[in-house]
Amino acid sequence: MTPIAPELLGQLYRQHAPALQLYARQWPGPAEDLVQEAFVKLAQQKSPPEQVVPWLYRVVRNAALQAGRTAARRRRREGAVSTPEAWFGTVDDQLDAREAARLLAELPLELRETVVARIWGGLTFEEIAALMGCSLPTAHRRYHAGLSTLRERLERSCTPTTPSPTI
Amino acid sequence: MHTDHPKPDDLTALESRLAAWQPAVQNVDVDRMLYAAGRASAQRGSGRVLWPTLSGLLAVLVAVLGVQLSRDRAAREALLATLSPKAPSSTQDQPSTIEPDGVASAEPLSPASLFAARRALEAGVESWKAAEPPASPETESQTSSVLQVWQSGRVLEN
Repeated sequence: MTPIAPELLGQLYRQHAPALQLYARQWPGPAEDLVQEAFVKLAQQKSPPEQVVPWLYRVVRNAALQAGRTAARRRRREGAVSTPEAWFGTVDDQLDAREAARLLAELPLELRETVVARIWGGLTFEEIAALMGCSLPTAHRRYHAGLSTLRERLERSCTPTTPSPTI
Repeated sequence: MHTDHPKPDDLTALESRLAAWQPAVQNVDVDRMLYAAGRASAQRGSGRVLWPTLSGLLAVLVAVLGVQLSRDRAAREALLATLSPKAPSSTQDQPSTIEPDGVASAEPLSPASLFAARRALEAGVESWKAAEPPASPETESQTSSVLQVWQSGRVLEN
């Protein structure tokens, strides 16, 4: 019944904060603050949770949903448009980071959330199902649907555009 | 507590390509997070003030009740003293004398007894002499052979 050690907390933060921020960016709101608050909450636990990483994702998701509702209300009130964010630092040679973020952002939220939690969060499908409150087959289905959509869009975006014939 | 969470290794080519995309590292400041965590823990520790505060309040309550009780008792005793009739307490004023065990105070002591001698010694030598029983011829003849303590002057006269 001892709180998590600061060294371990720092190590976890270095290891998982970027992916958690990417996960939190699936909702509007301050992703960095949400992730930091999740780690602060982890530090305040009298005994650390058994599965730390899924616990962190759950805390970030709950906070992001709450913050997303507030941000959506504010956007509706102020008429502001969210600025595009750089979700990725480095991608591959065939794509730039902003384009990759745009491709991912165009996925429906449920598919996008599943893909991010699986690919960059490293969660298992059981953990994703528990996180999203859905069944295991649903988590599988959403993941594969997200991947299929991404593949199509990636192929489309990487296909070199043929120059229009001049008359 | 499981903190190690490896990336899934059963990835297809697309999954491998996506996994190679590195999430942006923006404002990932460990020191800032640890500072916030420590500050939050310290703020949460302010809840520990509750018990000392509660103990202090209870101590104050006990002190107030104690003072109230003592005042009430003093007032009750004063009322009792006022209401009760004052009886002459002659026996209370006299100093109590402790009689030796086994001696009935009603019975006269024999002058030759140890208790009588002790009392005479306590009263002084003069009273001891005054308490000397008058000599009768019979007793004179009887006691002449045995020298008593109070007869020391007689020996010197002779």
